[in-house]
Parts: sequence; structure tokens; C-alpha cells
Amino acid sequence: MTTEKRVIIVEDDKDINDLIAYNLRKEGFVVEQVFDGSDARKRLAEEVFNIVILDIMLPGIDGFDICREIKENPKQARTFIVVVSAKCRQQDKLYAHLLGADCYLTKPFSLLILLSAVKEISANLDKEFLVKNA
Amino acid sequence: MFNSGLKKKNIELNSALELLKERISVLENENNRAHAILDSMVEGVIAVDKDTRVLSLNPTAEKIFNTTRENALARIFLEVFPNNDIAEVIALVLNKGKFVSRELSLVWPVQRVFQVNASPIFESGAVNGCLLVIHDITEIRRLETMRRDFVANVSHELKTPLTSIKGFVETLLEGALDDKENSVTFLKIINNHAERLNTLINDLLDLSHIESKEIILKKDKFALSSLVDEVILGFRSQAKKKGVEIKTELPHALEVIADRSKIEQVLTNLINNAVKYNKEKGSVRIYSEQFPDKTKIIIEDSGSGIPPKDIPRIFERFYRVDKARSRELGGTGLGLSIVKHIIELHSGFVGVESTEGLGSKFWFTIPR
Repeated sequence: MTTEKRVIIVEDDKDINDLIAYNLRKEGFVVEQVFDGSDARKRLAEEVFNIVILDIMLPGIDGFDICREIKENPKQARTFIVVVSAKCRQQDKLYAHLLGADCYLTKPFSLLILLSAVKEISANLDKEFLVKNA
Repeated sequence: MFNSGLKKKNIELNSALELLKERISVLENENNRAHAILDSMVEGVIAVDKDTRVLSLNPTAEKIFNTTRENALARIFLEVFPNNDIAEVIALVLNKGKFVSRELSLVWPVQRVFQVNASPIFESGAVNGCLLVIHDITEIRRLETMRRDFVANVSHELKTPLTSIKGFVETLLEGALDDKENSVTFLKIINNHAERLNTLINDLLDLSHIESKEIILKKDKFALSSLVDEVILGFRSQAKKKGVEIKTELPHALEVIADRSKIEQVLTNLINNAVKYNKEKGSVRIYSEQFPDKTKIIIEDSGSGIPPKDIPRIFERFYRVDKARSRELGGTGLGLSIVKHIIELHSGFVGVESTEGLGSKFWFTIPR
């Protein structure tokens, strides 16, 4: 990894949140964990993250709203969004993509696929970084 | 000769009159029969002529549109029934002379969903009117929505523990087995979620069994206080761990007529909640009130109470006041729903009174 990548995990189920965090930390990402929509909104307003792992059915503010807000915030314009949700209907996936989600994984998701998606995004970020600083 | 001719004519006339009377009576009977059919239909029936003037309507149609036959007859449809969607259907039928079927929502006088079937009335080959049959499908649609929501909820509830199980197994297979510090924790998490899935499936089976109307209650007369004592015994270690004291104040002589095993499940679920959501060193009090027609049993806890906004929905399936806390404590979100169904099977009632910060009183009644 060329640069340090910051990931925020927005997931209300503690075990699933911990599961993703453990694996991403092992891959060298800097991980922050939040467990509801309002904390996610607060942290995303304060800081820029490279990647957001986002659940949809959250207490309070749902993941679709968070997704929209990230894309509306110019500071987070280069933030990648990976949705992980139990919602598996085509219309939910389509809606998430329309709101700007880059990747949509349905629960129960394969950890290997989640990791490879995040690593691919990270590699693209590195390429962009190299081009910009060439 | 002349006389006999007259007599003959008279007889003919009389028999013609008899025949006419008979025909009229047959027609009247048919008419009455048609009316009887129309009057007893659960669907609303309205007939209009080619100018959309109301020719007839049955009592159900009167009820649906909150009008009377006297008010509606001979008036233009839209004057009596301010519903553009139905007027459009009528216009279509009168125009095309073909059967039309549509699902329409009515917002006035009440919010309802109707299936409207409209067919043309022909007279000597030309369309001369329209017959509307209006079927109220509000309840069917409501049940469909409920069922869809339930299926969505169940699949979410099943997928969440499954996600953890699958994810942690993958993590272990990908090398975490050698992570001495975490591997046991991961295995414990997997085990917990497998337990949770099992509990959820059992609760779902219980609920579907209770909800199916085929269930037969095995009613017996039994002493409530001894049943409560038995149930409490099962919670002894759980209560001790939390320092929660369970007090029963039921009279020994108190007997109820009910399905003992079902009431055992009701008490188990309510006492389980009272212990689980209690504060450390809190208390649970179980007591009764006697009424001429029913026995009321109250389970009072000293937990954090239920916010007023959640009280109306607390007995709904999968409704949780604090989702994270409920999951952490192994709740499925079905316990209170099961309680409500069992008590309703006994023709009793359930309810809750709660003050935030002070505790809750869950109660149920059993008819005497």
C-alpha cells in the first residue's frame, strides 16, 4: 500500500462490525467503527474517509440517507461506498447505485469478496495518487 | 247462443287474467329474488343508465359511499359518488361496451381499496347502461402487506446471525485459527449466533403453531402459584447472577382454568423479560387481582421502563425497544407476540403500564 487508507464501518450489529474491522486491520487499513446512522453522519462531516462500509437498515438514519449525504458532500467526493445489507431486492441495489454506492454486497456476504473489493478500490486510489504526483 | 258466447269469452278472459296474475307473480318473485340476492351481497352493486343516472344500488353500496337509495336514484353518478376513478371506468364501459376491472383507492368517506368490476348492460344490441360490482379488498391488501413485511423481517433476522457465522468461519479459515488471542472469541461468537438462530426458529414455529387456528387448548383447572413457582425455579441462576430478587404474592388457593403448558410459556416469556431487562439488584414482583369475571396476573419489574412511543407497538412481531440490547441479551423479538397470541386464544387480554426509569408492569387476564 502506497498511502494509508482510512475506512469507516457503519454497521449496527456489533459482531459483524467487529468481523469486518478485524479483517481490514489485518490488511493494514486504518479502521474506525460506528454503530448507528447519527454517529456515521457526525464522523463523516468531521473527517474524510477513503472507504465507507455501509449497512442499510440502521437505527435512526438509514444507510440510503448516509449514502446520499456522502455523495452530496464535496469533501467526500472521492470516498468509495461499499454497501453490505440483508436487503437483497433488485430495487434496493439499484437505489443504492443511483445514490452513488460503488459496490453492493448482500448478507450473508463472502468475506473474501468484501476484502477483494476493498483491496481493488484501494489499488485504484493508489494509481490515482501516483498519477496525481507524477 | 249469445249468452253462451259471452260466457265463453268471460271464461277465456278469466283464464287470461289468471295467467297474467301468475306471470306477474312469477315476475314479482323473480324481482324479489333478484333483490334478495342484491341485498345480501357483500359487494356493492350499482347500476347506471347510458347517461350515468343511477338506476339501482344495493345496501352495501349505500354503506360504502355513505348514501341512501332515495338520495341516489335517478341522479347523475358523479353528483352522488364524487369519485373520478369510478366515473372513468363507467365512461370506458359505456364507450367501448366491454368489461373493465380495476383496483381503485377511495380516500373519502374512508380510506379503502376496492376492486371494481364494471360490465355493460345491453338493450337490443346497444349499450344502454353499466353495472358496477365493487369489492372491498382493503383487508386483503393489508394482510398481504403484513405478510410481506413479516417475510422481510424474518429473512433479515435469519441473515444477520448467518452473516456473523459465515464471516467468522471464513476469518478462521483464512488464518485466524493461528491467532491465539482471538480464535476462541470467534468460535464463541459463532456458537452464540448458531444458538440465536435455533431460538429464533423455535419461536417462529411456536408462533405459527399458535396462529394457526387449528390449535386446541387443553384447558384444566390448576393452581397458578405452583406453576409460577416452577417457572421461577428455571430463572434462579439467571436472577442470582444479576442480583435480581423474584417475589411472588399469589394466593395459594388461586386456581385458573386454562391450558397449563401455554400459560407456562406466557409466564416464562414475561418473567424472562422482567429479569433480563431489569437493573442490577432489581426486583420482580408477581401478584394477582381478582375480578368477578376474570383473574389478572401482573408481572412488575424495576427495569428501565418503556418509552411511551414504543408502548402501542411492543406486542408486535419483531418490534424491539432497543434492538442492540435485545440482540445482546438473546431476544428474538417474538416473545411478547407469543404471549399476546396465547392469551387471546384464552379470550383474555394483555397489556403493559410503564414509567421510564422506574420499571414496567406487564399484565394478562384469564376469564373465570
